Amino acid sequence: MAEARDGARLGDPALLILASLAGGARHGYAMVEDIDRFSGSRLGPGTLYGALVRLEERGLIEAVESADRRRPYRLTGRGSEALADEVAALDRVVQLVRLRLAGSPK
Amino acid sequence: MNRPGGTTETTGQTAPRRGSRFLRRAIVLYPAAWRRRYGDEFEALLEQTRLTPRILFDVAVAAVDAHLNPTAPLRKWPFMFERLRASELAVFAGWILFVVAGLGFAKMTEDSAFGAAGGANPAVGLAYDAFGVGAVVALLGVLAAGVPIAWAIARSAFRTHRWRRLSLLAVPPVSLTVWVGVTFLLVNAVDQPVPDRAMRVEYFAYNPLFVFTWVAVFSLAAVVSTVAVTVAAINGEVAPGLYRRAATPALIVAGAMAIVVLALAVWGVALLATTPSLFWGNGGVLATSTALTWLGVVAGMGAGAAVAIRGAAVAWANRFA
Repeated sequence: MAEARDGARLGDPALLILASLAGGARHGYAMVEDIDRFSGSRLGPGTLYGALVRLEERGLIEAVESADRRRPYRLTGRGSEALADEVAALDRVVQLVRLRLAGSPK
Repeated sequence: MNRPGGTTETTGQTAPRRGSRFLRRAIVLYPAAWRRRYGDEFEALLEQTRLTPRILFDVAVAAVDAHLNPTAPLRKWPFMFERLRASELAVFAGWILFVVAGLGFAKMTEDSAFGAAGGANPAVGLAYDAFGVGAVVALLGVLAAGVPIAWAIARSAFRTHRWRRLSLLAVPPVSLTVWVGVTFLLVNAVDQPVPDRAMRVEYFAYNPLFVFTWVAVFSLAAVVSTVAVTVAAINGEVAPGLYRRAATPALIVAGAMAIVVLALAVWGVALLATTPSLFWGNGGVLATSTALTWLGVVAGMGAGAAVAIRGAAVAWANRFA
């Protein structure tokens, strides 16, 4: 798996969060629901915020001003690039696995 | 900076509130700095999450991780939040100084000669009206910012039986009551054979000892109230969102205070231009110079406004803390 631009790998929850935010700014509960919908993984609140805090620290996401208690987050430019790198790396893995599976004895 | 994703999905997915009070309280497992930064939004998420053993385990493990691995923004966060709170408390302190100084102007303009000058000269009258409107807007701004915070402190103190903290909030109304009581005693202590109340007030107003005592008790009440409110705010458990939301009314308060000081300056200049005999006369507090009283009030209110403007600017800059 490719590394994010600051050299640290993105974990699964972080990748799922970035993928969710690629569709627009979302608050915590909206992210949990969205991730559940597109990946079938339902992140716990602790896992979600553990990953959110680190993504914010790395400048990959940022909080959006909100009058609501439920503060939305959005991707930064850096987060968008990190997600693109991650998806490209995953894509290479997927292609390689497909080739190997196609060549393997049935 | 690139802003990927064109839509904002923040309110569309509202779930029924299934979270238990127990799960919401799990937030106490997190470090204080973490709670101050993320507590509000995390609690909102917990309110929408069904309590299961898996969820409870997830929150507990993440809380331990937050203790063991504090992240850089959180190391910076308490400083930013404390700046926000301190700057809003500075706006409040500036407003108190502004009110104490403004009392001198209110006392001086009780004299009917100033009312007549305002009626005869539109510039003086308009400046006086602007002063009044600005003062009311500043008061409303202070209430809009302060009442939710005071209410949160009171509710939390009541719930956790922290009576000393609750008593700190009682200091301003008690101080005001004491000052009103002292005023009543001083007016009735006038040692003159005048049964008429208005005349006693007149004697009181020209007695330096009485006026000094009256102003000193008011100033002391204002200082004690400001300190009590500050201590209660620093120690009280208030959701950071309330301080963030208070940044806007704080800015309004500072703006209104600036307008009031400007109106006061215009009032003095207009009085000098239109009614110089009144401006250079002895219509000030304790029958002192009107000009000197006016200058003193401008200096006092201006200092209060300067403190508030600086505080509001810092609060506004840190409103996302």
